[in-house]
Amino acid sequence: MPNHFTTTCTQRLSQYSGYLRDITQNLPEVNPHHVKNSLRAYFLAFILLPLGLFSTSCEKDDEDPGDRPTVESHLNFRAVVDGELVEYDTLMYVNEAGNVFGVETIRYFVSNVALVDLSGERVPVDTAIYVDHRDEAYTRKSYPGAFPNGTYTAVEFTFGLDSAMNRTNAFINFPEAAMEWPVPMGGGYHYMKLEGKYALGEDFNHYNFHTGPLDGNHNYFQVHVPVHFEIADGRFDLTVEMEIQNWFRDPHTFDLSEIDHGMMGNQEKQQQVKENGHDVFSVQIE
Amino acid sequence: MFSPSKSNDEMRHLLHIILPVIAAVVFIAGCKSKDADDPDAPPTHSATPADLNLPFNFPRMEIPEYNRPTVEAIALGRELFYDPILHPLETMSCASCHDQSVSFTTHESNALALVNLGWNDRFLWNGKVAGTLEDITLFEVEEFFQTDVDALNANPDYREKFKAAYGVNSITTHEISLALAQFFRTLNSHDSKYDRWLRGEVQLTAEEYAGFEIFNSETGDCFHCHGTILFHDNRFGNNGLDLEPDPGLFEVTGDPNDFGKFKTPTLRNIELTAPYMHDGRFETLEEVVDFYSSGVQHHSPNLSPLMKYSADGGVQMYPLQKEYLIAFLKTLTDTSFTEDERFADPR
Repeated sequence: MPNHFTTTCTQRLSQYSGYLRDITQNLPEVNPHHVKNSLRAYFLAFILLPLGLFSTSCEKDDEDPGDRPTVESHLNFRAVVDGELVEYDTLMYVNEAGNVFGVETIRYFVSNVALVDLSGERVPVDTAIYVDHRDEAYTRKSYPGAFPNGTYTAVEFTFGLDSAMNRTNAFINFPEAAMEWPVPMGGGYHYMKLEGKYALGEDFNHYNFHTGPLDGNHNYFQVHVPVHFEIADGRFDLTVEMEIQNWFRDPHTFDLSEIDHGMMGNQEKQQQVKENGHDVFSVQIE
Repeated sequence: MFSPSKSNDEMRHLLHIILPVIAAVVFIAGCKSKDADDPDAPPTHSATPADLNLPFNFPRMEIPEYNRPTVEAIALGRELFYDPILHPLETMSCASCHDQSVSFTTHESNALALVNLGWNDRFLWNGKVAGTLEDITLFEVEEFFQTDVDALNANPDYREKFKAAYGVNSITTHEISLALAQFFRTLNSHDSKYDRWLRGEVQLTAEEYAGFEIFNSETGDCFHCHGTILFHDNRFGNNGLDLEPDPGLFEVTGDPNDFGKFKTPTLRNIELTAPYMHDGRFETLEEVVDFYSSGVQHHSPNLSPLMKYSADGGVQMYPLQKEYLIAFLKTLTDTSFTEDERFADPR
């Protein structure tokens, strides 16, 4: 593949050479007796002009305003408990089962992210997104380039990774790699790691609310969030919000003390999570 | 040259040819000189590019553009690694604390093993140095050894090798760190019995496979921190060794939430790298597994939420399960790495 930078320079070189030829052709007629004067003019032309040219040429492609995307869209991710931004590492929330709990870790995947327009057409946004709510680098995704203008009615995504994507070695780099779901348990990746403490009498215990595929059950689910917005200038800025309390209720009241030895191998719990997940996500327009 | 005797047309014709040519030369020279001034541009000297031959199932290794692997720099880094010249008194070399036969650590130092380090971005038990291998090697040269660069500059052989590797006439700690980083980047272990099993070349014994399942389930629950092909999670955590732990990452960040957290070490070659834990408190794998089974301190501050059995003191394994787990851990031993002549003392 030809080097874009070299190609651009060559194109400019050709362009500038032609420009020089035009200049010299348009120089006024000179008397042979005044060749010295004409030489001075040419000298100025072929020394000063190239100097001026190469001071403005050879800019790298990423500095070329013509190559720069003019618009950028954003997907933000936010986690809340009882509608308020999560306050980490503090036993201060009470879920429907009565567990007093705190939150330490929220990492998850969503995939097949798309906007749905008025005609029901899906406009793809991203294949897979890894979110870590305690790491700013993984709570905001940027998408350079214009999206189709129009009216949109929903945001859709898969919670977790669909079965085509959820294969061991699909994400070999950190931090995504550390979401791995062990091969003896089916392989692939955790869909979510939601972790923290819950009160246990005068003491506490840890919970690992870990979701993923098990025993041939994919356990991912489709999320369709109705939201009405317009794209008028090719870009959007949307926030996907997760209400943590909703993982623990409706239709199943989820008691954290029942997973004190883990839930990765417990399909009943995985199924409950899947069924509770229907109203966990909402979308806000920024 | 131009002659007053030539006609005006001839002169114009000549200039029409010459001007674009000169403009082109100046233009191209301008392009080149800009590239040469670019600090991110690769070195212009002609060292021989080297291929690290990394396995497909390992993560992408971040290699700075300014220190791409070359045959000359890797060989130079290897020589420096074994040469006490880096120490002002020339009494120790890197190899004094990083012995190849035990996966580039030593019992005395309990230094983190130099194995697959090119996939790390925080170094040392408390994460004191962040960045690339070039950052940790610069730390070792400037702060640990406090290398006297005059000793290297006085050595014609090193001057010649640094010239060949980096095109420099004068050696600084910068080039020393670059060469060491290149050698470190070759110290990769991916040919243990476990790797060969993944490639379908060997079978695990029944005991080893049982250990593999314990490791990779919530029975042993090892994989959450020591998972991935690198057998670590590239994070820091408190595994509950003490009620009053050493400060660890807190020393670096000053964040009380980081108190007691240490770098998750890789388990590759773990059989060879005793003693274990950041303070080397355990001599054997049996002691380590006993600790995770029943010795975890539930009330250790900032205990990792992944230590979810801590209220019971740990994962509570049966003796046979412990044996199987250790059998699996020993499949991570890679003697082709510890005996690879490319990593040995070249002198």
